[in-house]
Amino acid sequence: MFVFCNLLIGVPMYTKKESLGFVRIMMAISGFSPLFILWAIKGLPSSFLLIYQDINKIWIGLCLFMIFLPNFILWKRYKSCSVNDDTKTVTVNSYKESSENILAYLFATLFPLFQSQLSSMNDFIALVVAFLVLVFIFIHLNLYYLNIVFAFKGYNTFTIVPGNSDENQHFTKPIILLSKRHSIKIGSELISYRLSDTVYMEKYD
Amino acid sequence: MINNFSAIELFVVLKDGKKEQHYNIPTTKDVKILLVRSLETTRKKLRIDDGDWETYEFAEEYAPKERLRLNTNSSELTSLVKIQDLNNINTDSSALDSPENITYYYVKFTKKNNQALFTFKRAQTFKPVLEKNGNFLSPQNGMLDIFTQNVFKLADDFDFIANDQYAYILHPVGFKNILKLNQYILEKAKEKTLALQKKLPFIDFEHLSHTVENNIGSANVIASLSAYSEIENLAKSKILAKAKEARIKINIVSEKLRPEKGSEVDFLKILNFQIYTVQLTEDGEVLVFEALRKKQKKSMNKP
Repeated sequence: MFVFCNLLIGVPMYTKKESLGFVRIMMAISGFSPLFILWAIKGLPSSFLLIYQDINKIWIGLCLFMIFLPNFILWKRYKSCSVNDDTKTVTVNSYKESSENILAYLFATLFPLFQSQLSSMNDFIALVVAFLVLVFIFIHLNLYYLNIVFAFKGYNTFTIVPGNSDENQHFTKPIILLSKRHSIKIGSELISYRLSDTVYMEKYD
Repeated sequence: MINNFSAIELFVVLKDGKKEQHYNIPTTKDVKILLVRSLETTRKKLRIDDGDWETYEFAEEYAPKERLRLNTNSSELTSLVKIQDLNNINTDSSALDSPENITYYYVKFTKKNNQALFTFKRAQTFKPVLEKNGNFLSPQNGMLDIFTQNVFKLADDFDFIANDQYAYILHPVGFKNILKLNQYILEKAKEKTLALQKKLPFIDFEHLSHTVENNIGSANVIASLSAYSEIENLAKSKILAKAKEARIKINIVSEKLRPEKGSEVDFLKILNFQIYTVQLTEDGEVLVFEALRKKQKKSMNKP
């Protein structure tokens, strides 16, 4: 299991090419850690206790697992970047702050999910499906960088976009840069760890 | 070793029709160590800290391994400057899925003071070696099995190193191929030939430009002549005398020297000191030589 996780984090062993797909999924789920904390505290409604008396313990254990595993994978990815010096020079020609996405993340996802009422098994299954759909959307729209852990560490989010008249740019996908800076000077070249092919975290020595 | 640099980034360049696509390839620490070793080996072979550099000349024929330098301000190196200025190149390791399309790879070494050093290598040695050298075997899960993954070989040196001032050239052929110098020189040949008219008004460069724009050999000579700082000092009488010795017929058209048809390239080579005559026998026979390299000896006459 550890070897499997290592392969998918990006520590190369005898393996096929890396796509970091698993890391991105874990990053997306890691972003929902506050939700799992709230769910663990809230627990399952009493009607579920009729199914199985200790189901709440299982539920809390599951929530804790869904908090621990993705964040552990995220931490392993960061360590892999650090050990391998997996860095890239991110040149900031034009950027926009992505902080407003945090609000969308809070109000459109966390609160509605937390406030869902679980009165039956059907509600529970619907909630799980809604959660999985959200994770998929986060990954598909490259929003998996929205993570409270980065915010706690003091990182702000910047989206590096192609400038209008820069002929020297050779990239087609926006780059997400996590940095402790509050603003970035245009033209700055920042050495950053590669958390994924589109999400980078500024390296601080 | 890699701690001397704040970043080491590997890029491959793929042919995409007529365009070239650059991709950043993530590497592990061990690969970075190999890349730094290749850099150190190249620096050692170039004796990069020694002085006394020979300037790269476009019209010269070089050995496979040389020790040359060229200022990146040269107009022929605009493609190199463009590569150095590229930023935010897409990271995509799947670019290695088409190794047959890789033309060259390069590494950007960013020092702690943010200065960047670029090293380049043609992709011949970077291609997968699996098919050429037969099957590789490796132990897997306790059994010996055929290794089916792509294996790429890093060369132990680079073709050339470039910073913001100079390109230091170890393998001139690689240097020329990577930067597509022949293509650039041919495109600019006519323009450069006509520009020489002002410096040597007594030569019919307009006529010569028709030959040059389709001939890479003469285009290289023009590139070399354009870089010669003292070209205005060439004297008409001396050129005529040397052409006569070398048996190149020159016509005078509108008071300008025009070599006979078929002799244009040889005429240009005389101007570029690549064709010279020697007379060492009593019977006065003048021998005509063509130099692939022109390394000037220290003048005996100058004080």
